[in-house]
Amino acid sequence: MATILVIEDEPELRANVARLLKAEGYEVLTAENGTAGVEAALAQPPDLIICDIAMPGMDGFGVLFSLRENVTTSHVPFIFLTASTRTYDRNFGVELGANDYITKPFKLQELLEAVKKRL
Amino acid sequence: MLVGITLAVDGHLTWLNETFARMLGYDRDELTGRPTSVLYPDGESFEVFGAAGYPLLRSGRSHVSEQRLKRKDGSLIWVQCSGTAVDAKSPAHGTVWTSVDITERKELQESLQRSLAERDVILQSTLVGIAFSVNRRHLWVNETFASMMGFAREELIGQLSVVHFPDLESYEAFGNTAYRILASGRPCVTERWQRRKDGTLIWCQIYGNYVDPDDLSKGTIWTFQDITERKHAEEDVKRALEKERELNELKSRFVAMTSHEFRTPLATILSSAELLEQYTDRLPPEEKEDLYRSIRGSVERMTRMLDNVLTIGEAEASMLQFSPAPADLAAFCTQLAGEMRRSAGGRHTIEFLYEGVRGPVRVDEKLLRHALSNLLSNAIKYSPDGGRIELRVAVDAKEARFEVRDEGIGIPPEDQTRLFETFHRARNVGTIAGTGLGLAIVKKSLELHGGSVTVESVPGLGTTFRMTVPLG
Repeated sequence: MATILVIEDEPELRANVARLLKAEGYEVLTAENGTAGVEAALAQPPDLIICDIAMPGMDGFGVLFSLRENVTTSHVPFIFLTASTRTYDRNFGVELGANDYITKPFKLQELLEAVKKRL
Repeated sequence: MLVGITLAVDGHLTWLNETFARMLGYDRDELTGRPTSVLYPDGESFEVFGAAGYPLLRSGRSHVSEQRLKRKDGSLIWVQCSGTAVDAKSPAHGTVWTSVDITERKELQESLQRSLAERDVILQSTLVGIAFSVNRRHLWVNETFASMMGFAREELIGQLSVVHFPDLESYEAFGNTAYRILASGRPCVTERWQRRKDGTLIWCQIYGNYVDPDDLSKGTIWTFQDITERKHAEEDVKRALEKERELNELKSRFVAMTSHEFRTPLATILSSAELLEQYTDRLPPEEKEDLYRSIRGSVERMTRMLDNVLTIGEAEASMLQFSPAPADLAAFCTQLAGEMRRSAGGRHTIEFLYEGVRGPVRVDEKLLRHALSNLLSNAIKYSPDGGRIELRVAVDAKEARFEVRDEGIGIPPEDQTRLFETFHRARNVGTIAGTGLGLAIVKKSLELHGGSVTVESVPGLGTTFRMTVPLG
């Protein structure tokens, strides 16, 4: 059973993504900000990470950068789930090594397909 | 130099030398014995000469004058003549005159004076201020320069140019720079503030150059043009451009922010709706209730944001109306605090304290709601989970005072002055979402109410907003 880490500061959205993934049979870990997300990922490297960009403290780019730096997490598939539709944010995310970039609002199906593709 | 000599007796030329005759274009014989009056251009000048000379000659002194004489051919020459009476008691009985033709010198002098006068007119009438200085002291200035600096010309002659500088330091600094440039053989060209006599400052375009680059002691010529108006215009344009740039930046930040602000609750709504639709059989009843609640919460959040955007739009178009009506402030605030508690999702404590008069007062509830709900939602937004927020309301016959106090991140002092301007957000908001409209709306609502709002904040400790609304 694959484990997915969801890093999202909006509590309701975090809960919804977790509900969806659990309903689809995944193990879900959650973190409410970037720093907590990096800590969780390093403590127990998940099989995939879904991460917001704009968060208080360390943002999603910082999270991805930190995880790509570390051997235990450098290979973990990483999906951005963000409200930012700006091209330069998307390009920067891809440059840092994100595997996918999904913008809010999103369809559950779209997120699930991205997850399945990477696992 | 050839000197003409004549002896005049009883107004007649009884003797003259060859030089004098030639000077006047006559043969010696022709002139000898003729009345002295033939030498004068007209009767009047003859009389004037006599009247001026006679008393001197009578007193035994010489009569020296520069005189116009008429030559045989009618042309006039300038002669410097000096006469002495042979017998002072009776000058008519004989005066000896020496005469030198000074026509050339006179003409030169006249033309020189003419050109000097012309130059003076030119220099005085130009719109450019001109000053000639030696060792930074004015030896000559034109009228334009004097009036540009608010002085009379005479006041400036002999003055050190320090009188044109705002202070001694700038006078010395300018001197060091300017004279270093001039010493290198280049003109000094600059634009700077100059002080007028009345203390006001004007912008001058200044051009300075040595009169003789090989002899610096001969002084410097400076020209001045008052460019204050041009400078002001330039500054106005610069300010307008800066303002425009700032506004554009704020607008694009606003667009990015609003799009982000709308997308987040939309994501919650869409995912909640799809979960309810596609996973309804796998969700326990209390989770379904959570999902409905989050849809409602997100819709409320978006509505508030839309309201803010619309309100500020109305305010800026001066369409926001002040319509006071009797209202029960205690009930109104209790309800508002309750709504805010619900929208905070129970993560913050909101205390409501009311003191003073109960019963209806005349306020515009809609405007007051704009103001208070923005202050309260800010207090929630910028406080950590579990934070305590206080809404204090005190009402007397004259006014209602509202205080919203939080223990949040605070507002840096340098942001407090512009805090109420549209789109302005404090620098320490980080990634906390916001449009920069809330406080602008608070201020506009209060203004329409004839009230005021102030802020007191310490970064890291918290913020207190105080609003006063006059009643009556």
